[in-house]
Amino acid sequence: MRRSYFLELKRDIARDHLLYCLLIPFLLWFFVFKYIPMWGIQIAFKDFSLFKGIGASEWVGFEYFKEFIQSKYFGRVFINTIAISLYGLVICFPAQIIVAIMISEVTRKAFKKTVQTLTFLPHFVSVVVIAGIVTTFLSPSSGLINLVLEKFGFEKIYFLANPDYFRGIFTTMNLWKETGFASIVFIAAIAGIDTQLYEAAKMDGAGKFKQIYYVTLPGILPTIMVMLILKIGDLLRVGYEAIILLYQPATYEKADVISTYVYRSGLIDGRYDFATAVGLFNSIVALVLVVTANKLSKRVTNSALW
Amino acid sequence: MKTTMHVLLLATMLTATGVMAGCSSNNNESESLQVAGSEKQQNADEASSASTNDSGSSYLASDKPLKLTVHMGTKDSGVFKNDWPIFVKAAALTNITLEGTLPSTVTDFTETFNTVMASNNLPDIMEALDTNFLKYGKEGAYLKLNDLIDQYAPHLKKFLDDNPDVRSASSDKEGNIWFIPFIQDGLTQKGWFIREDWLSKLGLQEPKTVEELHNVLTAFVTKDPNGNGQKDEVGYFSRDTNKGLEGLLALWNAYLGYRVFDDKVIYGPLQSEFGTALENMAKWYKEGLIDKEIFTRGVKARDILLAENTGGLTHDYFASTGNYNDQLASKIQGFQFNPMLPPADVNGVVKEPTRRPRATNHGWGISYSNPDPVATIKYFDFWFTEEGRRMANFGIEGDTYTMVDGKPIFSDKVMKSDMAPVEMIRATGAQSEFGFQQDYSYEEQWTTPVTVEGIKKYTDNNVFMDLYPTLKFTDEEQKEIEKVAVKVETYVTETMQKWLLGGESVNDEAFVKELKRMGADHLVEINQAAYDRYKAELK
Repeated sequence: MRRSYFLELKRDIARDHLLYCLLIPFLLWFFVFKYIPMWGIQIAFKDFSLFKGIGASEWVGFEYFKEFIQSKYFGRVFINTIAISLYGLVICFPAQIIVAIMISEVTRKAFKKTVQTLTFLPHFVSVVVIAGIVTTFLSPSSGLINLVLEKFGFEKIYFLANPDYFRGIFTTMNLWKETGFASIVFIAAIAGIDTQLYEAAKMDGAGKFKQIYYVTLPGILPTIMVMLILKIGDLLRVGYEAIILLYQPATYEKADVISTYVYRSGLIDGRYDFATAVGLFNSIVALVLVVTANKLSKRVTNSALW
Repeated sequence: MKTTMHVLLLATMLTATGVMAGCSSNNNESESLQVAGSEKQQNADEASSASTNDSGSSYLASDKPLKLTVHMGTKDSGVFKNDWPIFVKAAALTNITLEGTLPSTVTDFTETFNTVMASNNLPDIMEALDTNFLKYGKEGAYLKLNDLIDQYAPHLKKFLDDNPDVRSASSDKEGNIWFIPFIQDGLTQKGWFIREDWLSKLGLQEPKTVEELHNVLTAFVTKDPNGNGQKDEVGYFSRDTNKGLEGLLALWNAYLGYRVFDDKVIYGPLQSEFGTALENMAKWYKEGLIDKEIFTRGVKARDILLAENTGGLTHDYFASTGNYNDQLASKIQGFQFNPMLPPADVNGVVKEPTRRPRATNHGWGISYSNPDPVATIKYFDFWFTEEGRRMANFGIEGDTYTMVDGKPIFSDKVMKSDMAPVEMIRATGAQSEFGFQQDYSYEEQWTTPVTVEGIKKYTDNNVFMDLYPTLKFTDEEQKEIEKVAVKVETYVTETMQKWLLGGESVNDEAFVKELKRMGADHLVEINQAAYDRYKAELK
């Protein structure tokens, strides 16, 4: 089996060598940006000194892993990371599919293009600007939302200082920023469905919703599964830039995630070794999650990444 | 095709640099030939009388013209520029020309420092933080300066002998000096500023006690002193989201960091006063006396709140806060944001928790790869001569300052420029925070009279608390601190914010218990031991 795979590969390369040439830039990219840096992972096990360099620093074993797992903040950042990701998975992910279906169902071209462009746009705005907009909107003294609350006789709320609102604010922001752009994949998948299927469904008397349920959704299920597995792999990787821009010590309780913790201890406090250990821990958990999700998906829906 | 392009490019670059290098070395040679004659004589003089060499070109640090690379720049004074006049003049006097290695666009100096350290290719002179010097010095990145100073730097040696606190701040536990710090002058750092015109409008006096402060702030936010018919006044505000509350905290004898009382080290948040202070401040916050957005407004808070005519009281740096009167006089009628003495604390003591430290936590040192450490230390010494110090403080004579009755006085070019005086001064390279001794009169000359008066009030009443000294720790202690301190500090800011914003009610007992569980009391022990060593060293 294995032998024949390599034999086949050899034959393919001989036949389509020009096509395989197209792969080279990507392999190079992976090698330079993903494999070479792995050399540096060893500082997670070393008392790293910038001046001495990676090689000359002393080994300390699993000290940093122990420190992280035993630390007061381990439970908190771990749970926050998972919680914020799950919010995204449960709310943002279905929203992308719904938006894709809705856009695909629009028949008037001009309208469709306008909607699509408008929903894409926020993706291209820098997260710093978006966070600035969010902060301004939610400001307790001059924010639009609080002014509206006040006009209706409610008390003003200092949203960004209250840990209970943080996950909601963060998820809503991402929902607005990314839904349109992320739906592209699904729009493309829907466009690939054979139109004869819809015609056949119509003949059988299926209405719009039945068509969506019986034709569109099964048609894009493989895409959904692949995206979902990828999302699960990223479960521990929350967009920390946005969190850093929105959180503050008063909301750490609900907002501090692994990556922001790595940022604070690694870059601000200059503990590269410790930060690398935490990052490595993060990656290992992510790997386990992806493998599990892929296995599950293979068993349940028969579509998988590998 | 592409490779040929590269080769071509490289070749052009090489020739270009070659030509450039050729030019400059030629220039320098001719220059050095000119001074060579007088130089020999001076070398002989220098050896015999080190203390009287304050005249003429006896500042020579190197026989031959020497070019040294320098890694230098701070947030306040920007990146070192090769053509900064005072360094050009110093090059003429000492024969040492500095060449900056940082691109002028750098703003994050920690990051650039780390990158340079990791590259292992160190510029000859480097500006860095004390912790970096102590850490990497021991690993061999920097040279020990003790012997060099003793042998070749008479002015520097005298200064360090006269100022043991500076010597202590620039050396490690074993007494090895690793860098020459930037030494500040003047006593005041932060002070209280209040809208004097609001006070008189409401018929109030400057608050002298905590209770009076409470009344004044209440009047500020309820009686519409800006007269726009809206209750948009903000009582106490600050642009510093970390330390913005230290002035208020001190009114209840609470502190954010370490303090020493009667040779005993305490950590502010562990004291019961901390809880009491926050209980009161949370009440004030609820009453609207403290800016609702105190933790989110950030660095622009002062600009915005003062320009909007809504901010009433702050605790901030004297010099910069004092400038708003001029800036806003035309926009807001009667605008008077003036310094006042701190209100007496709950025990009736008037005190100011901040004060300008003398030896700062940064300066410059000599890298291990420096080609001529002796010349370099002589060059460092130059900045401690009278002439060098004057240049470092005031710039170039005849340009930025003139001597009047033996004192450097800034010229109109500085005082009447469109830019802030300090920027004009910095354009010459002066005040750029390298290893020199600051002279407060540079600042006093352009500080507004009201502020000068305010500063005088602070100094005359001697309200300043002692600063917590720069302590030195053993490697083990340092490791322990690195491990624990960050977590403790995170927990403190987090809890403080929650308490103040009312997200959680003050529970000092549980807070202190948790701090101790995290090892905060152990940190105090480490600090106490280091402090005891510090005391012994100064004796």
